[in-house]
Amino acid sequence: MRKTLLVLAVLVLIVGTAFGQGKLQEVQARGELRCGVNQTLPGFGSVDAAGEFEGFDVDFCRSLAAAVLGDANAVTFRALSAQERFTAVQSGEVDVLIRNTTFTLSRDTTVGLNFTAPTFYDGQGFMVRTDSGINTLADFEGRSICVQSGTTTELNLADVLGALDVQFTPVIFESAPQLVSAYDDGQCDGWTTDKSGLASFLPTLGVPSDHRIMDATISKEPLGPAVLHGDDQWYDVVKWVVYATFAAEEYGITSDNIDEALESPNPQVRRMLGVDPDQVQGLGLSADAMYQAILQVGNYAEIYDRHLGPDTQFDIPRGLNAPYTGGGLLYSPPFN
Amino acid sequence: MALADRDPVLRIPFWRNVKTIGILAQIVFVAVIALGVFVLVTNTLNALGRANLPADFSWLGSRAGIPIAETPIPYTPNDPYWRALLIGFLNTLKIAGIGVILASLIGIAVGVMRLASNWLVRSIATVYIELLRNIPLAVQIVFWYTAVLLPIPPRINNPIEIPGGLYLSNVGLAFPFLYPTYRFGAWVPWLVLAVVVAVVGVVWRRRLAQRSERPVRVWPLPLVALAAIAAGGYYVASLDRTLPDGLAVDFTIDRGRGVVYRDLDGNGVRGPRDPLMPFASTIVRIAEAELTASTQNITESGQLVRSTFRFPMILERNVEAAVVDFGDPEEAAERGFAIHFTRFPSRGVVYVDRDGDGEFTPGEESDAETGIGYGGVRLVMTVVGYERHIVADRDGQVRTPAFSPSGTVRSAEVAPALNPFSVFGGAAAAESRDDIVPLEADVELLPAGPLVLSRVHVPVSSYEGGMRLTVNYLALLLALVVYTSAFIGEIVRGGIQAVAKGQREAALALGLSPSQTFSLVVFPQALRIVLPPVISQYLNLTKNSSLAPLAGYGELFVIATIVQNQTGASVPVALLLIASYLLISFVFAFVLNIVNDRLALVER
Repeated sequence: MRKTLLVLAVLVLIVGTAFGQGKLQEVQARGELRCGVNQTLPGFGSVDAAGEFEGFDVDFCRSLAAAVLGDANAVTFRALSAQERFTAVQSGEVDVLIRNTTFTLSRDTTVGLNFTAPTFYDGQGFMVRTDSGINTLADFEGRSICVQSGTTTELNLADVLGALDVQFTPVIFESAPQLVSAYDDGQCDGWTTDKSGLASFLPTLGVPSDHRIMDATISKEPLGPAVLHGDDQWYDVVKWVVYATFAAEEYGITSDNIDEALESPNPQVRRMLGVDPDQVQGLGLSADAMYQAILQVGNYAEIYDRHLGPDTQFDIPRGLNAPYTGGGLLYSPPFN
Repeated sequence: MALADRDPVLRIPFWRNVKTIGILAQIVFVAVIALGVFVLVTNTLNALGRANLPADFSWLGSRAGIPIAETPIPYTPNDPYWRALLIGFLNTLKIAGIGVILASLIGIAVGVMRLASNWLVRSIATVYIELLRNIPLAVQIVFWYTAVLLPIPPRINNPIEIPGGLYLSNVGLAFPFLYPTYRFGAWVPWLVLAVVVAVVGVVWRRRLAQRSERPVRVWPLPLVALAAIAAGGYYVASLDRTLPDGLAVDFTIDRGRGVVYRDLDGNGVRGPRDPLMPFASTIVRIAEAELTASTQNITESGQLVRSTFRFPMILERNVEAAVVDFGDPEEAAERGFAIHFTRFPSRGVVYVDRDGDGEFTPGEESDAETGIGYGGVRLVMTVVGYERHIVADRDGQVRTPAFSPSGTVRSAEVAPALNPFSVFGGAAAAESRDDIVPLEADVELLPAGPLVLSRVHVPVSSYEGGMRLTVNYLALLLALVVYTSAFIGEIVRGGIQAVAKGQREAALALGLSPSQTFSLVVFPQALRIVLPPVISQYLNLTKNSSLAPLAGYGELFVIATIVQNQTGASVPVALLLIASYLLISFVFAFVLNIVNDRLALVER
């Protein structure tokens, strides 16, 4: 009993100091960022042949590291499964979770996360064979749909098709690769998951050109970085680094022309890049934090095009993920 | 005096009294256990409370919203969680029950084969057992599912047709099945009577056999009586050809779907109170309609199939006439396309008659230079006089192919770009269908006997009618049966070998044939030895069915995992899981132990 008390006391001490210090100071003292990512979703988070993490989400980890530590490579990646990811944030194992995680009310409250601006506006969609004759959701009448369990997708599917009075046969799988092979072998007429996931697995199908992603979107899935609830300073840092990538695209600042942008007369740009240092320093970062993030990793468009853009095998249209000036939803508050 | 002096010394204080100590120790022990349980329970409840996770069972009544493919009892996603879990439980029973029977049959056969005098038979059995016993079950499930049942059978719209109305595809196996109709109730008294007569008959024959000197066959006469009374009763019950009051069909032709119901309030519209009519016998007639399909190049059963088209399965005998033509005849003429049917009118290939012999020659279905098939060629089937006998399913539903009105073939570019913001994106598309003139379908309801034979058909792209076993179920069943039968085989072999050699020799010496020796002397004795270990194999099979996620079969464990994920009620769900598996195991053990007791040697 005494031993247990002792262990408890030590734990309280450790937790106390950790909280007292704040995540930002902790990361800066450690000299590296711990980032929770996916390793099974090509384009968003995966491991390349050389064993390096790469992907859209992974690059936001690098941006954050560049801003906080001045070095985009000062990141330790933790590959997390869908089940592990929240525990990893709650226990402090990772400083930030950037793992195609949907921003929802219950995750904000019961799970105890704080979500920054979504970096990718996703939605649940459907993949079908081009020659299946399925053009609208109503065409799923009497057909079968493969769906992965343990997510909100099966609930959305039942709700939406139920509301349309479409009767279909669900085939539920636990793992995505299993589902993909069942769909590819023709056990199902359609396959539903987040559109980013569909696009990511499309190139792995037997004959990718025989399949297409339907236009219909049946749910809102804003994916974004999340940090542990209760540390406002760290939350602000992560949030504004994401905004900086949005703003850089809006102002046309890329990793190539950023040094010219330092001469820009635009007060927004000057504040963001730390030419006028007060604003960025207010976050507890060095004045050139956003400058480093964009110089080393790039603005939103660069990150997007590198992993999901037309030159990649995925070629996901920007859609909602365009700047607000281009009809999308990416909108950075002003750097005032 | 001396005794009196020693008395106070002899009186043992109560705390040193063995009896008291014993009682006290038990009280302390119980208290410690109770405290331990209390700490565990409150700790868990506190932790769950802090995380806002449910620790009770109140969520069982909320709407589940989970789609489930195989439901032994009616179910929709609007049903509560408890019903979803019940379906999982029934699905577990479905796989365990059938699995146990099949595993026993195969296991006994293999066990006997292992002792055969024929070298080949013996070796086959040995290889079977050694191979299957030593491969982990999970590997076998994945093997049957992803390496055998998914890639090898053809796709659903080109199934293998086995005589007797069976269909096999990589969606599953389906076969005709008898279902009880609304008139089944009229037959039930006859069935009861038949069973009673048969039981009385058996008792009577047994008595007779005991009294008689000559051998009396106990079973044939009562069984004949049973069959005769049941058949007579069936005939009498079928005599009344009237349909139940208010029987009606609500058929939505553009969805190709209808519901048979009883219009109890007589308003001519299907209301929520009107009961559905399961297994009603109907004839659906459609005067003229169209279907479209496009050619595709697909991999099927490991082979590349080029330029193939598959309409929904329409049998020639179901239509007066069917004509298949190109959706764009001008383009087809320009490219020199012709149609070759592999099964008129639903399946075939599009080809270019390069050698000019006027008929299809293999190789002509793909481009001579590139070797690529002609994909995406649109075809239209015009059907005249469609007429099909369809037995409604358990939910009173009848389904036909989703015909389009004749002459108004939908263009391929229907899909309007849906607003990604609108969560119910398809609604707009559904509205756009209102401008299509509805087709006319004539649905006739037929009177039925107590049972109706429901045949399998493939109106869209899944089986309708009959009994359907999904490929997920089959894969899990195969793996479980094959794996467990290897163990049972070894147990059976051991049991047979444990029967004393003299028994066999004595039986042969008495003049019994080898098969009689086995079935009358050796096997009954072996059964006594075999049964206890086989019971534990049955329990193993039941518990191993929780590997179902590997095959995508929705049994208890799979559904419980989903429910736990949705509700966060991990502890209550785990408790329910434990209770369910315990219940199944206890019932199994209870029943089989009774059998065991009856079989066991009665020693005096």
